[in-house]
Parts: sequence; C-alpha cells; structure tokens
Amino acid sequence: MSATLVETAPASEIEAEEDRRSQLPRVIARPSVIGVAIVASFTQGLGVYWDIAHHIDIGRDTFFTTPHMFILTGMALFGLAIVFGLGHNHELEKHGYTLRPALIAAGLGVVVQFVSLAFIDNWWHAAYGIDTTLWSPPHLLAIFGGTIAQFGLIAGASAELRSRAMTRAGYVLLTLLVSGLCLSVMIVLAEYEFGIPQFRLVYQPIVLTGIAVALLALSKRILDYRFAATAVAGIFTLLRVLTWGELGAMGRTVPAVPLIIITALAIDLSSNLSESRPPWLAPVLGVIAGAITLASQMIIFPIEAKLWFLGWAGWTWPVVVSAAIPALVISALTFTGGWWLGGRVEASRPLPYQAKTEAKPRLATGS
Amino acid sequence: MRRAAAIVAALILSVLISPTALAHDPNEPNIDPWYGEGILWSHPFVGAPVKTVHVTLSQPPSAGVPVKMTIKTADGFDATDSWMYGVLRTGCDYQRDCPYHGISQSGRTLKEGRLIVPLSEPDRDFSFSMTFPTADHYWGGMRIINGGEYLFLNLHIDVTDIPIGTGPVEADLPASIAGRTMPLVAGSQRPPSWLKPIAYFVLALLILAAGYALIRIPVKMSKAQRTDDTDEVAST
Repeated sequence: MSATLVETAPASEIEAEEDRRSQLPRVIARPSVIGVAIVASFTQGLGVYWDIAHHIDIGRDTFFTTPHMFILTGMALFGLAIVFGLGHNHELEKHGYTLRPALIAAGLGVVVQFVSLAFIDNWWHAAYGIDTTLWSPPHLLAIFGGTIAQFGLIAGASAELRSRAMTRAGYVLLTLLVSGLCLSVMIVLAEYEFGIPQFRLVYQPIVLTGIAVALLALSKRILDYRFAATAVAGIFTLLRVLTWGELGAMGRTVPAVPLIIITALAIDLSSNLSESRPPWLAPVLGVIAGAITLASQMIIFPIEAKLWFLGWAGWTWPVVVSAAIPALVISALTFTGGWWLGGRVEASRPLPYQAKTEAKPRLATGS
Repeated sequence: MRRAAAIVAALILSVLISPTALAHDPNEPNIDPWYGEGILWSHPFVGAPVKTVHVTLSQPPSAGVPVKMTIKTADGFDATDSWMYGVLRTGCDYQRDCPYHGISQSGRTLKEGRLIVPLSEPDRDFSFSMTFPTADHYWGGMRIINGGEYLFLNLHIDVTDIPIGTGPVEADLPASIAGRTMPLVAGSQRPPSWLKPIAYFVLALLILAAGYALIRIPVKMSKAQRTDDTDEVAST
C-alpha cells in the first residue's frame, strides 16, 4: 500500500507528509528515554551475571550486595526512562498520535520485574532456601518482566523512529536496544554457562537454539538492514565478553559465552538473498539457524574451557544427539515466531489518538 | 472461537510446563529441613532417600601430590545426561568469602577449590585428578546430575595424616537423592508440597497471557499504519 501511495500521491504531498511527521514531538527517541533505557538494560545484564557469580563463589549473604544494587539500579533507570517517555507521549497525543500502549507495556514489565525480585523472590528464598535455581518461578517472572519492558520499549521506539525518516543514529539506537533484549533473555541459560546446571543437560541445547534463533530472527526483521542480526549478535557477544573480563578481574567464576554470531551472519546472508521472503522460508531458515547454533557451541565451548576460568566443558555428543531433533523443531517454530513478530514491530507506527475534547488526528483522515 | 482455542491451548501448555519444571523435584513428604547455604555446597537433608556411591582415591592424599578421584555407582551414571560439580576446600565455614585453600583440578583453569567433572566413558563414572595445596582437612559438596536424579554428596578428606602405604583409598558414601529445593533458612518450615507446582502453573499461565497481550501491541500498531496508508491513498 505504501507503494501505491508512492505511485499515486504527488511528490509534493509526500514531502509535506514527511515534514509533518518529522515535526511530531519526540517521545522515546530522546537521550533521556532511549539512552537511559540502553544504559539501564546493560547495567542490569552486567548485574545479573555478577550476581550469579557472587552466589556461586560467596553465596547470597545479604540482599544489599553490590550486584543486587546494579540490578536494582538498572531496573530503576529503566522505569525512569519509561516515566520520561510517558511524559513526552502526552505532547505527542496533542498532535493526534500516541505510543501509550507500548510504554504502558514496558512500564508493567518493570513493575512485574520489581515486584518479583524485591518481594516474591525474597519470600521464595525464605520458603525454599537461600540459593534456589535460576529457573525458580520468581526468577523466571523477573526475566519475563524485563523482556516485556524491553520489548515494549523497542516496539515504541521502532514505531516512532520509523514514523519519520529513519536515520543512521536511529538504527544504531534501535540496534543497541535490541542487543539489550538479547542480553536479558539469554540470562535464562546462565546456570548452564556457569557450569552449575540444576536441570537436565539436554535442556541447554534445546533452550539455547530456540531462544537464540528467535531473538536473531526478531532482530533481523525489526531492524531490517543488511547485517542487522550480525550487528546485534556482535554487540551481545561484546557485552558478554566485557562481563567475563569484569568477573575475571574480580577473581569470580565466569560464564561461557555462547557463539551466536555465525548463526546471525547466516540469517543475514540467507534472508538477504530473497526479497520476496515466502512463508516457507522462515521455518526452513529456523532449522538451518538451529543446526548452525548447535554446531557453533560444539566448537566454541571446548575452546573457551581451555582458555578461560570457565565452568562449562562443552556439550558431549550424547547430549547433542539427544537434543538435536527437539532443538531443530523448536528452532523452526521460534524462528518463525520471531520472524513474524519482528515484521509486525517493523511495520508499527504511532497509533492515532483522539483526545476526548479534541478533534480527529491530523494525519489519519478516517474512513 | 479463536480466543477460546487460545485459552485452551494456554491451559494445556501450562499443565505440561509445570511437571516438566518439577522433573527433578520429588517433593518428598516428611523431610527434615535443609541446612547450610551456597549454590555449590551440598547439604543433604536428614531422612532424604539416598543412593550409595563408591568413592576411590588412587592413593592416600598428601599435600602437593596429584591424586585421582573416581566416583561411581553400581549401575553407572546416566550415559547421556550426567554432570558433576562442586567445591573441595579447607576450614573457612560454608560459603563465606574468607581465606581458604582449595584443591586445584588438573587440566582445568577453575577458581581454587572448584570442581567441574563431565562423565567419563565408557565406565560411566566421574573421574578427575586434583592436588591438595596444604596438609589440612578438606570439606566439600558435590552435586551430580544423573538423568532425572539430582544427587548431593558430602565429602571430607583428611590430608593431615601421614600416608600409610600407597594403595587406593575407598569408601561407600550415601548421596542424597534430591529435588532442586535448596537449603531452608534455619528455623523456617518446609513449604507445602502443592506450592511449587501451583507456582509454576501460574507462572506459565501468566507468561502465556502476557505474551499474547504483548504481541497484540505491534499487531495493532502495524494495522494502524496500514489503515493510515490506506486513508492517505484515499485522500489523494
């Protein structure tokens, strides 16, 4: 339909339309919102890995440990960014548009995360012990809350940035935000990466491939530039290596870093081949991406185990063979899901908004 | 109709997820509280079901001399899904970050005192070499994943005695068969057995419901864009 618009609308009207959109007040695309959110998500990611290492080497001696403070600071900063965003959104609504649903979802995510970590998790520890598993309900709820928060903000940021001409800076900011999401979601695998699994070993290849290909497909479609997935995987890897450096410098146990950049490169190259992107392409790419992810870890984990103060020794063949079929099936499904959802985010724009006392939105003429 | 199908699917998925998450947790009734703390220490509760493991040191332990430890069961550990990790170190009480000496595991660059051991084939046992840095008492805890079982094994090795002879040292030790439930805070009561399955069920439902609601946002926002485009075309 955009193509129809280009064919039928006079160039001057299109330019005028773009001018109007570019003059809408900024909501998320401000340093106080997107900049703070990026810093917040990286701070939280660092804090969580530090916290797990602290639990392994020292224990959960008190709630007020330094890594806990990093996590809470990151959460507070993210919440603050959303509050700023909601404030600026009020200005946007005066112009007939809103990003409220995305910002509210993001805010609810932070609330879920905070309630889970500050209250439910403490209660759970009191009931079940000081150190439970990372996969305890409160921990999973907190990770999910963080995912909601970041996904909401990404959806809002993408919609806003694309409602005007997307700039290079816009792509960079969105890429950083998506990388923060990857960092947060991949935390679910931390127990395995630190070499202290508490569930069956076969779950790791299945969960890792399922999550990694979903995130990379999502990244590729949201960002939609030539090497988008590779850029996200590169930043993710850099952040994880920096975390490793920080923990290593403190003499803490360090986690293995999963190798997802090869998968990302494969996704970028293969999806760039076809402009049409037929429906069968996503599950096929999912299986290929899953297989590459499995193979990559078989190569990198033993190397990491030799080089670093590392817990994980790498996957054994029996584990990988047992996990391969479910991992590839799940990869096909999650890749397709990520691909579809990323496409929806990429196509999102600010919603028309009509205040109770105001006229109809300026840009949507109504049908 | 689609919404009803989605709700039914969510319920089925949640029911499936809950027992999967609890696969390692037998929720044994009438178990005494756990004690101790720290992710690597293994403090089995009194009265937990046990499995006998056979522990062998290739020679009497002494400071500075590598010794090989083997941990095995009568029927061997699970060939596909087995893993062992833990700590073995001196003095300093559980989990406190105070000065201590810990064993160093051969062939690995782990933090002092830490152990990570994959399954050894074809004997399906855990076998590794380590060195005790000083003549002292070493305490440790091992956690062993053995398929669907999660075993906790406590070790105490006395390296202060002057070794007598050079033969292997062997012992049969009880390893507690446990769920993921970690030590209870001292004095607290064990939570009811229904709490954990309900918690996982509610979590799964919440994630599915919130996930669905979250997906609606970009779907709605992308539809708004398409409507916007259509309107713009119509207006031209």
